[in-house]
Amino acid sequence: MCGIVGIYHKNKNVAGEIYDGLIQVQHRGQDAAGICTWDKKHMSLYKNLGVVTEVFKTEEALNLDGNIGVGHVRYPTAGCDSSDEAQPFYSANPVNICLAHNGTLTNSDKIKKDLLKTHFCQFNTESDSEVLLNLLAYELYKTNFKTLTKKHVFDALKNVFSVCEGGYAVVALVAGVGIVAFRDPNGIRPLALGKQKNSYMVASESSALNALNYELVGDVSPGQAVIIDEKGGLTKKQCIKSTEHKPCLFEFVYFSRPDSIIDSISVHKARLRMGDYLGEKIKKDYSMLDIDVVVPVPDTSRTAAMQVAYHLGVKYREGFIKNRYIGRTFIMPGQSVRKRSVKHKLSPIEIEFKDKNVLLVDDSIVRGHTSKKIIEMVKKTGAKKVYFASAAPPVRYQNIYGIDMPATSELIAHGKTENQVKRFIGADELIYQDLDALRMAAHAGNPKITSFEDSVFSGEYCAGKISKEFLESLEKNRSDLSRKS
Amino acid sequence: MKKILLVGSGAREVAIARKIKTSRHDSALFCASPTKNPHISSLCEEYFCVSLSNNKEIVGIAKSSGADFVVVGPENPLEDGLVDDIEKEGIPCVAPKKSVAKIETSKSFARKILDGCYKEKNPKRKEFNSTKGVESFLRELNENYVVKHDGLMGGKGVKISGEHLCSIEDALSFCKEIINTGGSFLVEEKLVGEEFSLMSFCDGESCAHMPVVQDHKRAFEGDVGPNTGGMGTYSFENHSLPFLFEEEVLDAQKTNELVLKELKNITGEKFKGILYGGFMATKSGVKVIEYNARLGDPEAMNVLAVLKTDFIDVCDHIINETLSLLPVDFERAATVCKYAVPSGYPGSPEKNFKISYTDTGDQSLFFAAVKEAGGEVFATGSRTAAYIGIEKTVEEAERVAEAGIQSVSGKLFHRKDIGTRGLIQKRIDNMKKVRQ
Repeated sequence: MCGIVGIYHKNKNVAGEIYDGLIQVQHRGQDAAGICTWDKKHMSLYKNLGVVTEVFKTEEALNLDGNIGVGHVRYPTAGCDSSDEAQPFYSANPVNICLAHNGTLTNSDKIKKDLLKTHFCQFNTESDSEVLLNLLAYELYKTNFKTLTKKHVFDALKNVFSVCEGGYAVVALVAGVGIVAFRDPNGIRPLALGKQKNSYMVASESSALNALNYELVGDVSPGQAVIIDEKGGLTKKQCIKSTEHKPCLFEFVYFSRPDSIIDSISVHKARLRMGDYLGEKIKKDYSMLDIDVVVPVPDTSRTAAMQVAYHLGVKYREGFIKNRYIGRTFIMPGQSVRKRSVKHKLSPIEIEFKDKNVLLVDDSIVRGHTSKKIIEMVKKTGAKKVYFASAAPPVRYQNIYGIDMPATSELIAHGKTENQVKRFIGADELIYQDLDALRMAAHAGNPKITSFEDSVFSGEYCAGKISKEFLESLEKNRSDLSRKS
Repeated sequence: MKKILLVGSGAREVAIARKIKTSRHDSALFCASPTKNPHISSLCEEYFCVSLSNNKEIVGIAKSSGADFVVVGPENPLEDGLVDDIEKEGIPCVAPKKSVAKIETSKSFARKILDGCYKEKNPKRKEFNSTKGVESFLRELNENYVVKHDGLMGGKGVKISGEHLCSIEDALSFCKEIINTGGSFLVEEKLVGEEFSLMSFCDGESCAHMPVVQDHKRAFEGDVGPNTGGMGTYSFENHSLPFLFEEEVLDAQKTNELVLKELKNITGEKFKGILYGGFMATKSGVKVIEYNARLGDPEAMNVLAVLKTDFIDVCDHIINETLSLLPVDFERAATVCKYAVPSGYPGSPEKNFKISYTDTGDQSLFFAAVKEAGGEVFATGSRTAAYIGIEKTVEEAERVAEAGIQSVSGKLFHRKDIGTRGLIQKRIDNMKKVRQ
């Protein structure tokens, strides 16, 4: 997962605002950050490894001129985690282009092969974003333009859309044209558009727009491209027919900030409903459990846990203190780092657990190690029984559309029954949300969206021709084991 | 994949079947009903021609088709305890059990429920099983009375002073008629005002209210002629009606909610399905005319046409008793639904005549009492087909409905005035007069 931002302002330099915007989407990726701006003559690019405040701590780094620019925060989902692969990516051919991408192209190897064959593309990295950049550049070149116009860009994008498979949200800076933002035909990855009096902003999440005082105009539609030109004009064009709008369900479960609204669905409200359904399920199917207290595993699950407690008529307590100076454990590369940081990150408040039957609520169980550690911790404080509820169903399959869950071997629920997971994490009872209820929790926010990209739960991949071989190669390349070596 | 058994095959059930098939959930639909409605059979995996009073067979169909749940359209099976029999087999129903469907099947039970939870909504009334004391009560009501057969009479068990009953003698002889069949009856104060219907999805605990609808019971234009099952209905884009105050709609909603709770208190059984309140807006507030335990026909067409929330989700939430979690939304659109009925309906309708229409797969046309034979469609004597207009305003919706229903031809007639500005204005004026 990654976060992207693009800003146009009538006359002011935008690097500072992009910096602020990137901080607002920092939760989407903390391993690299970059900003590129355009001042109608030059593109200025600065990117490096680290969180936004680390990358841009010197004056020079923010000395990027131009009233139009794009930014990116990265956690790599394809390629490896070197600084060369920090985004945005830049190309000088056929015009200056700089591109920031959130998502994964599932057919990037094939596109790359074709580009190498037919066009004199050079690739410097293993990143699929670089492939996307080169494809866009090549398609622009193919339009045979004399002076590049919006029409050429839309024409080029038509081909880009028809070639690319997977889930992607993109903001690109195209010299002479402006900001170009587009979203895959299934709308898997989010992309929101906002406006102010003299400026426009696109961002992965609407919360970033709000924070910077931009009014949310709406989402970029699936298969749509939006151009904010150098004069501040906004043009939208449906470049390819959207097959079915299927936003990523995991955005609602975990990734997105609760104050974001994705495709008219409030993430906060979706999480409330997840808690509602989970609470009702526990009430109905697990009425034999004698629960004294509901405790959320911070932070994401709080919203759902509150509703669970409400439906069960049981008190809700904060039982963990979180060390806010350690990043999210989920996105730490390599399990050894992750194991250590769980312990350092959460400390139990003993009196909330001692001699009590506790229901812990988490947003999901992915690798299972965090849950296991937490349950161990709670048992150590003298809790009588530790029940565990997940606001999402078992995560059983790898994600190939931009979420870093590439290897099923890392997923605790893969090929396991709920009972086996329960034993692994050491819970006295384990209650998973039903997939239909989770879908409902999001769907209820916007009845027009009738299905979601939920392959991590269902194993059904909606975008691209996904072969067994593809999944296996992903598994091999991206498992933690290969990363260590 | 959801497997759903639909019981019944009128226009209402066509509307339900279409909502099921346009759900975001994949489904396999089965239908059990005595006659084969082509608008349902085309959506079905399998169609079982069976009498609606044959509980045993319908339960067997529910089991053998592997139904995840059953939707029951009409009222008669509810009284026969079909839902009780199906649920005994562990298959949930979107329809109430017998003990709570009694809100429709017994008029006196409905009055008692209201007495227990919101007695202001009841008119003055007395129950009788002989003619003793009837006459003096009729006189006490100043000859503004209604005589109601205490049981299911297909909308024909109610007679009203000044309309069907021209004198006390008339009334007494109707009462005797009822006594002679072994029935009991109610005599009620005649409510004067405008009728409206408020239907609510219910999961036993909470309600999700639908837009308010007005039906037209009389057979002929200008509200004259005999009572029918309903000649047509309309609803407004604001989900209210132009002669109602917002408080009146809210009061009707409150009434449904209280009735739902009282049903559970009194019977111990949860009412799961659709609670249909028939209300009269009177000078002294909203009063209850009667309750039904299912979707109205034609009202079902109006409300389902604008239901935005996925219908299978609604069913699931009714069954799981989680309706309060589901935001049930309706489009801001006006609807007008008109029925074409056989000449002579309701008294002595023409039967088994061919009807013609252009089959364009028009989802606004709903077949009701028809049967298909040799590729042709025949009317069987009851209401034949309904057509719905769904537009921004009632005027536009009426034009669409009128044109649509005219495109169905045969020995049929329909009411041209339903949903027209003239008739609606008459209602508004009447309500103004009543309120003075």
